[in-house]
Amino acid sequence: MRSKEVFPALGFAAIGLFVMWSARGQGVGSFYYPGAGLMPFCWGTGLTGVSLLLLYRVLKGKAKPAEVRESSVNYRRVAGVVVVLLAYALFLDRLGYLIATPILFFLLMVLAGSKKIPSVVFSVVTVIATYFFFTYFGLVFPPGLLKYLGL
Amino acid sequence: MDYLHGILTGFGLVFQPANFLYCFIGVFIGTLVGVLPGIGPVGAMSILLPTTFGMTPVAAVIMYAGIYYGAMYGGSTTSILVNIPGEAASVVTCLDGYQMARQGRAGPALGISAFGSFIGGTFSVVALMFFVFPLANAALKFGPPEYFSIIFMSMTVVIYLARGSALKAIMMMFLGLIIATVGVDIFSGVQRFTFHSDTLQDGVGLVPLAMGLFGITEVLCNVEGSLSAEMDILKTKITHLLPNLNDWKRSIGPISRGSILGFFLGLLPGGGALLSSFLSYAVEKKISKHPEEFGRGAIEGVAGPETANNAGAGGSFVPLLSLGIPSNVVMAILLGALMIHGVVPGPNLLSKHPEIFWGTIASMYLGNAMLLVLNLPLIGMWVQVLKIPYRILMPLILLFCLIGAYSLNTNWVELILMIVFGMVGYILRKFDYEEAPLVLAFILGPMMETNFRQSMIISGGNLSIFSPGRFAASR
Repeated sequence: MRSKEVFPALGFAAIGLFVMWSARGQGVGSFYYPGAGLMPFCWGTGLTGVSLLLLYRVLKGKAKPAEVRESSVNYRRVAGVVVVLLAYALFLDRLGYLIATPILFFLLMVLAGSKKIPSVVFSVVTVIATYFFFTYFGLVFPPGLLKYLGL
Repeated sequence: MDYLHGILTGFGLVFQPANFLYCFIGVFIGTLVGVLPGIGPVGAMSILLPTTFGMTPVAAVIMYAGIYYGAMYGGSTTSILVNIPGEAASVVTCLDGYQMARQGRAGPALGISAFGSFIGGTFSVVALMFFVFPLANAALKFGPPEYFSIIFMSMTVVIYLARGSALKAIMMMFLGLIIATVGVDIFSGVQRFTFHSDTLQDGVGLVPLAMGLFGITEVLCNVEGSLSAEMDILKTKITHLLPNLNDWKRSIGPISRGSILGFFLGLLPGGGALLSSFLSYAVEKKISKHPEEFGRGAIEGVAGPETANNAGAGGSFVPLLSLGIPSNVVMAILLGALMIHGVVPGPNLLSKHPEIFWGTIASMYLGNAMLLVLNLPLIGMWVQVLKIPYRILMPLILLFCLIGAYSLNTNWVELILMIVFGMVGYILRKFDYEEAPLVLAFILGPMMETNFRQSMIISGGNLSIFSPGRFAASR
């Protein structure tokens, strides 16, 4: 299970190196006259250093490997939820709150194992309730397609 | 402003209808998220952060304080009745609370837990009042080097107290510090890690970060398992909520010790409710004449930790209100909420915004009393809440996260950021990396950088300005 620790440590080291490289371009300056890149450079150096130390300990077998709990993990459902959320974020402005949100809610309920008909009803009721609740508090939702209907 | 005048001003504020309502909403939501496993006070506060924009700063703090200590109350209910802690600080209550419930003593367990929480919470509020002023007066002498050193020490202690690997906690801290540097540098106007994005010029927002790492991550971790499993609620009649004389005799010591221990541990960076409850349990078991009863339904094992976690929650307000430095993630989010309103907690808070300090104090007295009423007579209602299936809760939590992030700037980029942070948090959890040091470092990062750079300018680039002998406050 070393690889379970090696890849994140390498990823963190890479982020640290990227931050150090970018910070140089921002102007590190000196302790007497600190530039915009000084602190990012320090934090990047720290992240790279600690990541490499963890990597060393993992490869030497000195670090306790992360616990593995993968037997009953439903990654398809996790991926499904993430895709639905990303799609919602991308289409919210275009479709509008009152069209995009019932679809989101219905898909999430179905992904969670609810039956389709109750999910439709629950989605519509929840979205209408949240719409009136939040607009009452002054929140403005995107009208999306409904603006063409003059709503 | 003397104490009496201050507290009367505070009560005057809290009894204004709007503030009274926010206090009730805070403790109600706090109890709810405490009862419901899968969303804790941090997640709830993150989700509700955008709703505080329309409130006064006093109302926002009153509501948030209520959520925090309300969750401490509510967390014990699931620990005792279901053997699943509603939130982390109630983990230790499972050990004896659930055993008491199995022996038909769920009532006294819930009762002593509510009374202990009330006593611990009230004690911490009184102590908080008397601790904040001396500390804030001392902090008035602090300059950038002292502040940098305190923040540095806070981060060191947080890492020391991290659950898992210290190296991983340090890595998360550095990642949080790096994310905090995104945006336009306030000293030079140079853009840092903005990748030509207009949204990132203002930096990464606390709301998408906290909601992503705590709200979305929590949901993703929950949906990966079975969602159809019904919660196994102990089918026992909850009677005799008022503990009997023997229960009180056994509990009074743990409650007294838990109050003091909890408050002082709450002052420590990284302390607060979690550490307090665990240490209280350890202390009670150590000094007990019957340590073998612990884990088999000893009432001391419920009274001590439940008192300590509420006292710890109160204690953790001291560094925030007096120094402006949050000691844990909950306080960090509270700090973020205040800063959004243009209020900077710290030694000047007491002179510039006394209404916030005294309003918070008075709301804690009132909130503790409200919680006693919410948690004892209404215990049946909270048990019913436990029966809400996660397949309904999950879409609701996600919807509130999405609405919260979108309402910030009505900008879909904030939504994408939140979802990305949620995915990153989920992946990091898989590899046993904690989010708390990241969020704490993200909030403390700008303060740390500003104070470091000012110290360097003051000292002419001499790092020895951070040695204790050079501190203004020590002279």
